[in-house]
Amino acid sequence: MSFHHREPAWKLVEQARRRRDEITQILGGIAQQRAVHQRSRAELVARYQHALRELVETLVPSLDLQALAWAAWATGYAPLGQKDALARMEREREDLTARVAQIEADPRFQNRELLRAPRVGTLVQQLDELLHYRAPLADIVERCQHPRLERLLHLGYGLPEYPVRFWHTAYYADWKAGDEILERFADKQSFAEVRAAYLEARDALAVHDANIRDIQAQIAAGEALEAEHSERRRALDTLEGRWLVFARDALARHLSEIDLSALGERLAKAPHVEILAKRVVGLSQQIVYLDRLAQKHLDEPESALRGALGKIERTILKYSRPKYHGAYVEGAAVERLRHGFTDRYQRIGQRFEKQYNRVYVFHDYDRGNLATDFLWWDLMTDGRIDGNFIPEVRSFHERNPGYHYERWRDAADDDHDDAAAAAAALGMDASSGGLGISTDIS
Amino acid sequence: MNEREGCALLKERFTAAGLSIEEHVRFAEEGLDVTLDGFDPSQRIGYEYVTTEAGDREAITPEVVAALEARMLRGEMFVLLVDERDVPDPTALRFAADGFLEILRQRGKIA
Repeated sequence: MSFHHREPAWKLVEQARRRRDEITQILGGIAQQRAVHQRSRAELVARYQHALRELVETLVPSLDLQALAWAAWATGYAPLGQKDALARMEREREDLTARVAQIEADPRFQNRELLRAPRVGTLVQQLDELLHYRAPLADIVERCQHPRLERLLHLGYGLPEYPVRFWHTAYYADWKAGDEILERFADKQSFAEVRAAYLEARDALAVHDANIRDIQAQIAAGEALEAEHSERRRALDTLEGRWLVFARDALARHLSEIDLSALGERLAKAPHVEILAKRVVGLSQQIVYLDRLAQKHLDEPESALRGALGKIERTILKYSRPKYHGAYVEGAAVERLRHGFTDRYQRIGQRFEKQYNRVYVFHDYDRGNLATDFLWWDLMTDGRIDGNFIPEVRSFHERNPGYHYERWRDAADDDHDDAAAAAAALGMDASSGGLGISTDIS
Repeated sequence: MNEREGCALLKERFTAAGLSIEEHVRFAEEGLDVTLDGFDPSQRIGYEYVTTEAGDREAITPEVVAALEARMLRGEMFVLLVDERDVPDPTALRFAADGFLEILRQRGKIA
């Protein structure tokens, strides 16, 4: 192709559209792989948390002082071994026990059935009785309700001392109100009789209501005492369990924040603990490695593809404008766009799937080592994949320049793993974990 | 119900009772000087509608009411003192007017 070779602009646009479609398709594949990665990662995180729980349950089987002291020594989590931890639990036990005893000695609690049993409790019966006698009194008071009632009572309407003279309209308004109230009492002949009945009922009601409030308060106080008793008893019953969970949670937080490898020598003294710790460390490394793989083979390619897509979009936009109809462009520009991306990204995707699945399916945690500086990457990949793109792996090699990995798998293991990875790549259900989505975008 | 409507109703009731009501009558006697909404000078019976709207509460002061009541207690005159707060509607005002006139009738002040 000569330097001066030129092509119509429409050919450039045509090629650019092909590349755009191709990149869009590749980005779709990457998005699918990322979705699978997120599911796989979530599953590993769940397994890590389960493993961590098993580890702390083994480290702290009970609140036995000796066991706590050993766990504190083995994990470096000093608070576990301090007597104060159990002393606080004992203080809570003493407080709860004392309060429970205090409640149980309270007559309101002791006589709870006698006082508050439904229907037959003495307080319940008293309350029923008061409510029963309250009803007719409340009826009288209710029937007397009128906007002028208080005025009539205050001025003594119906009594000789009523002071309002007949030349005031208030005299007639009072008269009308008095009649309206009187009409509600068929057995009364005058407002004076209604007034007397009302005042008697109102005063009696005030006494009844005060008694009712008092009994209701006694019942409520007794019920509150019973509820508190139940709550304190429950707190006592669950005391050790709660403090055990508290201790385990604190230890789990501690273990998740430190490098467990630093505890290797101590944990090696208890193989049944060490094997659980190896699983925790191995799972945490798996999560880190899968994230790094996704970063290198998904995030970085995606970023590059999006950059290329932006340029292609701008080219399409520019050369689709009317002023470029019939125009010519450098032939080299068209030629550059003839080269597709598919093959390259297909290779990246296949490499990613292979490496990803090898790390993901790893489960031989007992082969790890906590006692020395140990490269889990080599164990998981059996030293067959260069992991120097992973900062943690690169850092290991820098710390151990003479390091050489001894492979432990035989050819049959490799065949088995390759077969598993291939099966995953050929379309296993993605929900089963690992990358089952092919990057084949053809 | 405003004062004009109230006064019209009162005049109608008082006239029906046989009184010759004159409106806005000045009553000035022995130190009392007040203009009444309705008054029959010969029978010395009338009414005064007290509303905030008309500013009556400033004119019909407690002293004026006391002076009127003193005369009514002596049986020298009778004026229905209407407080708008006691008669929220025409029915209540009619009830008050008819009651007042009935009492005067029973006392032989009107026929």
